[in-house]
This record gives sequence, structure tokens and C-alpha cells, in this order.
Amino acid sequence: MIRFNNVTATYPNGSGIYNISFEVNKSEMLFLMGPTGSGKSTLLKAIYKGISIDSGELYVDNENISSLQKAKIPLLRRRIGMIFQDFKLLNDRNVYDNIALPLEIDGIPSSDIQDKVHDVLGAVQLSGKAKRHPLELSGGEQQRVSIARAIVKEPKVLLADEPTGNLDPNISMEILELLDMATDSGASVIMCTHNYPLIKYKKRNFLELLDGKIR
Amino acid sequence: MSFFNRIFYLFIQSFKYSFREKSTFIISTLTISLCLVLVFLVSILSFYSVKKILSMDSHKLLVTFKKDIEDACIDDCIAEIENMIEIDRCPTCPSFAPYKLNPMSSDSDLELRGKSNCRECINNDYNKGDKIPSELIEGRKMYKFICDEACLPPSGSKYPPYYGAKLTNPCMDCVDKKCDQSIRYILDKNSDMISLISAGYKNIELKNFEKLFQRSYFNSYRGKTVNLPMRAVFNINSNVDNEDKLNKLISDVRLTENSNGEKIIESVDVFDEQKFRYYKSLVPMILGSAFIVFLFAVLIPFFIVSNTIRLIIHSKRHILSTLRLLGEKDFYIKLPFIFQGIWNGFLGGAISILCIFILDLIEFNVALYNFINKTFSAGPEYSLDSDVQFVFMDQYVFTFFILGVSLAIFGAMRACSKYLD
Repeated sequence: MIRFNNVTATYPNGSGIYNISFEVNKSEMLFLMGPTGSGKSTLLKAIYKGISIDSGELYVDNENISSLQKAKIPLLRRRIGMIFQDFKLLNDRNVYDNIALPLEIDGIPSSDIQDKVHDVLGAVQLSGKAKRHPLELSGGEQQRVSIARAIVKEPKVLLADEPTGNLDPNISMEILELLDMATDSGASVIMCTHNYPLIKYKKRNFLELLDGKIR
Repeated sequence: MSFFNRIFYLFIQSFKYSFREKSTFIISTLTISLCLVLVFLVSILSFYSVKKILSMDSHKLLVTFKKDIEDACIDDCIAEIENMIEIDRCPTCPSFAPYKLNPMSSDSDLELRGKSNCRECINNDYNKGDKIPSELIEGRKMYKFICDEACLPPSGSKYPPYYGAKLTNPCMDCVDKKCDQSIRYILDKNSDMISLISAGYKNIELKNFEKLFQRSYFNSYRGKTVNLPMRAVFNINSNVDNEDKLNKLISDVRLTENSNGEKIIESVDVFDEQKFRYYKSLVPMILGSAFIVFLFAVLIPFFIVSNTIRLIIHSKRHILSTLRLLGEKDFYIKLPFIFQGIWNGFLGGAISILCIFILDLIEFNVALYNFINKTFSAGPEYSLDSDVQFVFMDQYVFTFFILGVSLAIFGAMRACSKYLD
């Protein structure tokens, strides 16, 4: 589903990722490990084209996105679900609207949106909080909204950039379970974290980065 | 959501978002309207100034006729005066006692009493349905103007016309015809006076002044009913190309006499050649200055809108980055900001139209008219041919909206391309 083939992607200051090669198949979860500044977020950025790829080939859902046209980037991002440490929720919209947003962007009819959002709200156990605004929720709940927003369009690829970074261990475990659930439903998940104790018991693939290279 | 529904939704939403940024939105809207008003006033001022300057011509003479020219006409018509019939009663008010009212002499006590009585009679009779507020107009003027028409006897009446009813008074008709030869006298007797450009006849001139200022400055011209020219402008021969020739021509014109050998000219003014050249040299400067003001007045709203949108973009940068990550297209990300620019320009244009309407209401155009005439004056009585008009036609309103909206759209587009790409 996701295949890196000698991918190098650098920022103007020279930092970035270098000659990265690995593969994540359907229904697989990959944990990206490494200290701060090792290139974990950059690797995710390369997947959603937040940074341009200098060399190598990067395949997402069998499509080489290394030299994807700028106009096609939004279409690529619509196929990817993204979860961030800071949630990136729109605080002026309620939970329902936040989750519905990617579907609206996709141009899905509002009747379908309603069904899908209610289903996913149930899956993340936020059914009673659809009318709440993000700032009225706890950190764990906000991250669940963020996950709901990412999985509502049933993406083939799910990227999670330090999703448990601001959460306590119990809530972090809940978040991991939700990501497991997404994996079970067929998505390829890449999760960045430097919280090794949280994931060490998971029987999943691990990839450790150091200074932009696979260690 | 279909494409058009989404566009409409964003258009409406953009107004709400604009309103959230109240102070920025209001400031930029007011700036746009202020600049549009400035553009309008500068355009009007420069247009009419240049129009006036270019309409000046060094080969023009302004002749003002004597105000007692009507008295000078007495002899032209002596026979008719001698045979003048006595009016035994007011035609509109038959109970009026008989008076002899002589149109040619100054008001005697008898005449004054007659006029006073007739005025009262007319006020009671003819002025009932008059919609002109009489307090705005001097009584004498009101009396004269209305009397001219009101004192005509009804059709088929046995009564002769009353004083001032020149239309059917053979004597007045005669006076008019004879005295109005004054223009011809000037043209006939001075070969360097080529043609008449314009003549200002008393009835029209006085009415124009009254309309403009709502009072009369020319009472000394009143009291006579003969509609004679007060002034006339003539083209002069291009041979008159130096001061000596011009002075000679002026003195010749001053000496113009009527058929009775009486001088009919009060004054002759030449359009000052030096001033004219000076004014003409100002035309590029006026146009250049107008262009610079225009340019600034156009650039200011452009940058103000651009900056306003920039601030809004900055305040929403987190939302925008989230939308991008969710795969929103650039088009839909930029569109609300373009719409905010449109709202800005639309409201700015509307406010500027309102301001101009208010300026028109308080007769600011009259002030501009006077300003231009006083500033660019090459002759004492030579004014702009037409009033300064703040015309409210569809295309003006349309142009303002288009200008305001275009500026705002371009400003918004600049901000989007600079701060969103």
C-alpha cells in the first residue's frame, strides 16, 4: 500500500530523510520510532506531499507520487487519513461538523454524511457529544474526534503523527486501540511516536529513524 | 453539495466571516468608499476645470449692455407710447379702479398704487394654485414674473393688456424688436467682430440666477419687461493679434450706438490672453495631478483590502492548514477571501454612492461650479456653459460598483496569491 524506494526528501537547510526504503501492506501498522528531529514527521509529510521528494520513488496505493502535480495533491490527501498530536480540529465548528468536513470536501451528499458521521461517532464512543465544540472536550476526546475525522472516509492509508503525545497512558492505550481497529478494517497505518513503552507490547512492525536515516 | 450550492454557501459565509472581523472590515470598507468619493470629486473637478479652460478663447469679447437700454428704446417707439391706451381696470380683477400705467416711465406713486392693488388682486386670484413658496422669492420679482403672464386678458376679452404684458402689447413688441438690434449694431459696425457666440437674455439670465441662488442680485435690471440681452459674447477676427489692435477694437465696440445715436454698451471685456495662456499651460498639470490622485486613490483601497485579507488569512492560518491537509482544493480555500473582497468593494461602492448623493443634495456641485469659475476666470461674466452635474445615471452607479468591487477583488487576489500559495 505504501512503498518507499530510496526516498530522499530534504528541507532547504539540508535536514530531512535520506534513502528511505520500506513497505507497509494493507491492514498493517508500522510504528516509526526515533528521537525528536530524527525525521519521523518528515517521512509522513513525504507521504501526504507536505514536502517534495528529491529522489527515489514513493508509492501510495500503487501510485507513484514522487513527482505528483501540485493540483493533484488535494486528491491524494483525500485518500489519506491524518491524525496529529495537536488534533488540528476546527474550534469554531462542533464535533459533528469537524468529522463531516472531509466528507463535505469530497462532495458527498449530506444525507450520506449524516449516516457516516453517526456511525463513526459511535465507533469512537462520542455519540452524545456531536454538538459539543472541541474546546469543550478533554484532550483524549479531542483526539478521538480527530481519529473519527480521519477514519470517517475509510481511507486506505492512515498517518498518525505522535497521536498520544499529549495524552496520559490510559487514554493513549484507547487511541492505540482505535488505530488497531482501523488497521483491522483494512487501512495501512503509520504511527510516529517516541513513546516506546506504550507500543513495545504491540506485535507490529517497527522502524527506527536516526538523523533521517533508517537505523 | 453541488458546485453552485457550495459557491453560494461560501459567498454567504464570507459575509459572516467578514462581519466577525468587524473593525478591519469596516475600516477597509470606509477607506474604499472614501477613495471612490475622492476619485469622483477629482474627476469632476479636473474634467470641468479643463473643460472651462479649453472653452476659453483669446479671440472672444464679452459685451455687457447698459441696463437702461430699455429706456433708450423709448424713442424707438414714441409713436406707440403717445397712442397708448388707458387701462381702466385690471383685466383679472374688474373691480380695480382705473389707473394709467405707463410702461416706459419709472414707477410713480400712482403706478405703485396700481401695481400694489393689482398684485393683491393677483395674489388673491392667480396665486392660489401657485406652488412656488412665495417667501423664497422677493415680492417684486414674484409680482413681475407672475404679472407678465397673469395680467394677460383672457382670450377674447375686451380689456387691453395690463402693464408688463408685452406679448400682446404692440408697443412692447415694437420696443423688443427695435432694442434687440443691439447685437446687430455691434456686428455691423465693427468688421473685426465676426460672429455672435452666445447672448444672455434678461428673462433667462435672471431666472437662472434666481434658480441658482434663490434670490436676485439684479434688481436694477428689473422693472422693465422688455426681454433684451444683458450680455453677449462675440468671436473676433484672428487679425486682431496684438494689444493695440485689440484695444482699438474694444474702444470701437464701446462706442457702438443704436439708431438714435445712443450708446448701448456698458462694458467690454476681453478674455485675458495672458491668463488664458497661463491656464492652458496648467492643463497638463491639472490632468497629471488628477491622474496621480486617481492613482493613489485607486491603489490605497487595493492595498488596504490586500492587507485586510492578509490579516484575516493570518488569523485563520491554522484552519487553512487543516483544510489543506484534509484535501481541500486551493480554489475553495481562496474563494471565501475573494468573496470577502467583493463584499468589501460592494459595500464601499454603495457607501460612496450614498456620499455623492448627499453631496448632491447639499448642492456641493454649485460650490464646485463657483470654485471653478472663480479659479479660472478670464472674464468677469464668463462662466461654465453648463452646471456642474453630479449625474446619477445607471452607468455611473454601475461604474462605481465595478470600480470598487474590482479594486477589492484584485486586492484580495493579491493577498491570496502572496500569502496563501
